[in-house]
Amino acid sequence: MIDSISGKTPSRKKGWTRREWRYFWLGLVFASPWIIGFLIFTVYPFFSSLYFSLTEYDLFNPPRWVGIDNYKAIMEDRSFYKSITNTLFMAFISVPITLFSSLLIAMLLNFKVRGINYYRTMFYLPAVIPGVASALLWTWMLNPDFGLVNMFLRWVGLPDPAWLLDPRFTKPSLVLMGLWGSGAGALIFLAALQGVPQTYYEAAQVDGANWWHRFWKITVPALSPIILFQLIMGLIGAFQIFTESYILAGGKAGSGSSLGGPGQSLLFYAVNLYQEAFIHLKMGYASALAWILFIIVMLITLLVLKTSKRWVYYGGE
Amino acid sequence: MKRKGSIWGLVFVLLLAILSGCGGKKPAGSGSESGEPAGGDAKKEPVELSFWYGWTGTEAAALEKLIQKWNDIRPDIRVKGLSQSDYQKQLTAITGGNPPDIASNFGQDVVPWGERGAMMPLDDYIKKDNVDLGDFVPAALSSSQSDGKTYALPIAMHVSMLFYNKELLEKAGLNGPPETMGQLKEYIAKLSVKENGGKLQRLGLWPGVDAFTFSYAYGGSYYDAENKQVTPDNAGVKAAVEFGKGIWDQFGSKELDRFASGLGQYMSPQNPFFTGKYAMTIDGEWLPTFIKQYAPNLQYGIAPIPYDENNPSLKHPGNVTTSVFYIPKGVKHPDESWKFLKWLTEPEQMAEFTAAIGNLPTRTSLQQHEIYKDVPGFQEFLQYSSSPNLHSFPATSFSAEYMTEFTTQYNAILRGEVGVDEGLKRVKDKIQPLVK
Amino acid sequence: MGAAKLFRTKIFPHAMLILFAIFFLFPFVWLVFTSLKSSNEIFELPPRIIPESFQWGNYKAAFETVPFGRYMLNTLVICVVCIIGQLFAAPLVAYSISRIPWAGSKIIFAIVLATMILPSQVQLIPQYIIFAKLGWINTMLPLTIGAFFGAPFYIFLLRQFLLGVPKELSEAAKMDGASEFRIYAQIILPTLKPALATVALFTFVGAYTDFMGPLIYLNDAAKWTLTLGLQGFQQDHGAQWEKLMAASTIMAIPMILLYFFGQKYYMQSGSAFTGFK
Repeated sequence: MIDSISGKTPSRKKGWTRREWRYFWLGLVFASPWIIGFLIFTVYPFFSSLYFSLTEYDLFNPPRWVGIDNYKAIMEDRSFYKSITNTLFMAFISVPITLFSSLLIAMLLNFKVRGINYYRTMFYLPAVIPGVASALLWTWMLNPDFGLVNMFLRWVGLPDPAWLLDPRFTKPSLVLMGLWGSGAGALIFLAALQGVPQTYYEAAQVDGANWWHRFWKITVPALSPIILFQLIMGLIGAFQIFTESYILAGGKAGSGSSLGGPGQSLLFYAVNLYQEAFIHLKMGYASALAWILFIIVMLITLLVLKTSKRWVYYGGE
Repeated sequence: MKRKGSIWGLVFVLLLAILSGCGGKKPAGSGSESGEPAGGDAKKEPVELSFWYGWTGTEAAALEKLIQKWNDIRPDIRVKGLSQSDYQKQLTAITGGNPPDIASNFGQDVVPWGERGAMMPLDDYIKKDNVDLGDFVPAALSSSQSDGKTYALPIAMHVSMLFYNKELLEKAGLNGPPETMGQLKEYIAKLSVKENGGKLQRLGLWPGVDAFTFSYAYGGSYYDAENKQVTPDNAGVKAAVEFGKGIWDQFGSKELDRFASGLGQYMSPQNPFFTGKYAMTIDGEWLPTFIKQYAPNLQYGIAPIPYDENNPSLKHPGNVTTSVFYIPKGVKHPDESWKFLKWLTEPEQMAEFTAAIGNLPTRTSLQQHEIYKDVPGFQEFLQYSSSPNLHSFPATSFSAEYMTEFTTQYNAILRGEVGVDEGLKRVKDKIQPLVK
Repeated sequence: MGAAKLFRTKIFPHAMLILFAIFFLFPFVWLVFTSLKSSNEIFELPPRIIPESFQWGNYKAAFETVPFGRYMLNTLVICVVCIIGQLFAAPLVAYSISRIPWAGSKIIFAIVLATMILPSQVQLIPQYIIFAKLGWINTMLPLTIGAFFGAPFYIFLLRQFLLGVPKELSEAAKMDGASEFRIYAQIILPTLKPALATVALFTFVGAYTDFMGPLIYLNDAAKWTLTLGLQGFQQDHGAQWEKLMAASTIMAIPMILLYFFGQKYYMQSGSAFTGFK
């Protein structure tokens, strides 16, 4: 993996065996759709953004080489630090919570009871509501005086925050909204649960293992490849979170109102990047932001993959 | 194995069919359809122009009506409209070399885009066809001009005025609207109501709005073109920021957030001005139409924005924003595009369109037009739009960034995260290097 | 013991499911009720959930504002083409990087991840330029072609599933002299059914709800999709919420039907041999 990141070609051992060559060609053929697509449609945008990051590029005029000036300027930009703090919150608070709730829901939906297909449909419903409609719904749900969330909190005697209007609670609001969309993540876990042999559970039951025990000793290891997937995708998604903030806190582009919500508490990395690229017409600067994010997230991903060797079990190995 | 192979073959054929099918549609779509010019103009193929605009829904329908009218009188130049709510499409298309022939945009984008070469300067055409630029409201036109070039023509403009709730003012013993900033401050104090141990029930005026409008009330200016200096620390701007900060601190962030949380949706009967939660508000020419629709019984008045009592020459200040039409650079038929653009901004079409969507016209000759007679509140606004103290945010290549940074720091100042001087200095430090 | 079993297998599952279902069902119920309110009622404070009288006219008005039939057709064509592409390409590529021992598998996996990590905003313009050079602007090709190369998300997902399929499964077939393609198509793919159903559903929903793609690439209102149609209900100073909600409800129906009736593919546990060590 490290080799591949540093861009080295595969270590070309001298003299491949016939078998190795055969697998090489087979691998190439199977991967060919992606390779073709990558070469035609991805290589150029991918690397041109790296080039743009070293230029001043306003979209309308040809890029002008400025070296690492953009990167230097970013290091002194307050918005950069604000946006990265906000984004880290989402990555490290929201991702684990959503992951856990998806897993929980998947297990609920795996009960073999009557009418389960109706339940499954219900749990997936939040994912089919268009963004603008669900944004309005959430401003209702989180309305400090009349919203259902605060009604409930008052009923159990907890404090009732102003949610989307209070800079301290805007990000927790998004976490709450993310929970509600965890039905989609649950679907992936549910698909994976179908592959866990029932016999394992039966055997464990004979051994007198309780629910909790079975969850940790059977379900989690069996699902670990998918947990890894959801964790990495969750992290990548969290670092690119954009739409939620744009819909909830966005002014119209170009109207002079700044994106980012109360106290800039929803100024996420991708929101800041979007603003620089398409409103301030600083595509070079935005590309530099993109590559800094790229390096950060790539490092985190590699770290996760590295540790995964200790907790992910592949049945095929 | 053979069976599976044939399935993949099928998939592949299907793939090809889809690719070729879609690819094949394109030339047919971009060319003109056969048998089109039945109107007798058989001399040459009509030119087809694409026209992208940012209005949607019923406002788009009003514009389509005008396009239809044009297509009826000019069968040789066919215009095809496309409504698109996001300007990123235009940006991408222009950069990608596939621009529309005419497009709309916000006024504040014109100079940033124009100076970078995305918009075609219209001056040669304006000169050739003797378009009288003197008829346009100066503050509206200036946002489309830079360095002697005109990059777009404004079709509609917005300006804000002071709305006040007559009943609430009377109850507080106030006679008529405030005229000066000093009076405004007193009014806000008198009209705001706290109950139950300091809980805010009503606000004279929401303190967080629009530092731009108040800057002009204090004679402020954001840019010194002669010395090429951005001036967020200008005395007038600073006075406006301090004014907002002064009201904000009377109540505090915590109480204002709490109060704001109980406010209703802007475009509904629960708009806080309609329900009396705000005694006054600063808003645009569309508000009277909403009031008529959502709160027909509201007793309200429209008044000029207060001005600095130490400087009576600043009477009737205001901040102007516009919507414009422009021709992107690199279009195939600039002459035809111009003809259509010119026609759209002629008095007759401008009157029809702005009246339909409830915006102010940018031509002074239209300010007495009877088409606006029945639009609620328009008499006050039309009259106000000829005030010499209206300004728009200075049109520079960096104005978008300037406005973003100013708004960000203004909010930080209000919330006490940074002092007034330090906040304004931050704006200057960030924006001054962008001046070329 | 009998009561305990009844509790464990019937009462407890239903109780839990119902409790959570309320939380997940509520937004949709709210959406439907809002679509039946009058425009003045929508923002009433305090809000009421059930409308005073049902305004079925909102649906008629929504249909009159937007040509639903055409947009729905356009959208569904794009969705179906994308599903075909994704189901063709993603499992092939995933197979290559998970079950074929060759030098490129790790590199490809790393690049697949990398392409997801770089924000798409900075790649939009160069991508547009490629499509413009190919003459594909204003066709559905830019919206669908990507599926035929396999989207990184699904390649990664299927790789994870494939790594869980025991090696013995293919080893046995190899002993019998089966080719790699045959092992892939006849032995491995069937074990992936629930995963492939997930891919199909997600691809559908992804294409169905995409806004930016159709906005950027389609210049002709006749080719528009439903999400672009929805912008017709939003205007400068607010939206026609009652119509927007009615349109959103109609828009949601195909996705709900697809999911409800697609479940049987989804839940088939034809992969009982998928295990782990």
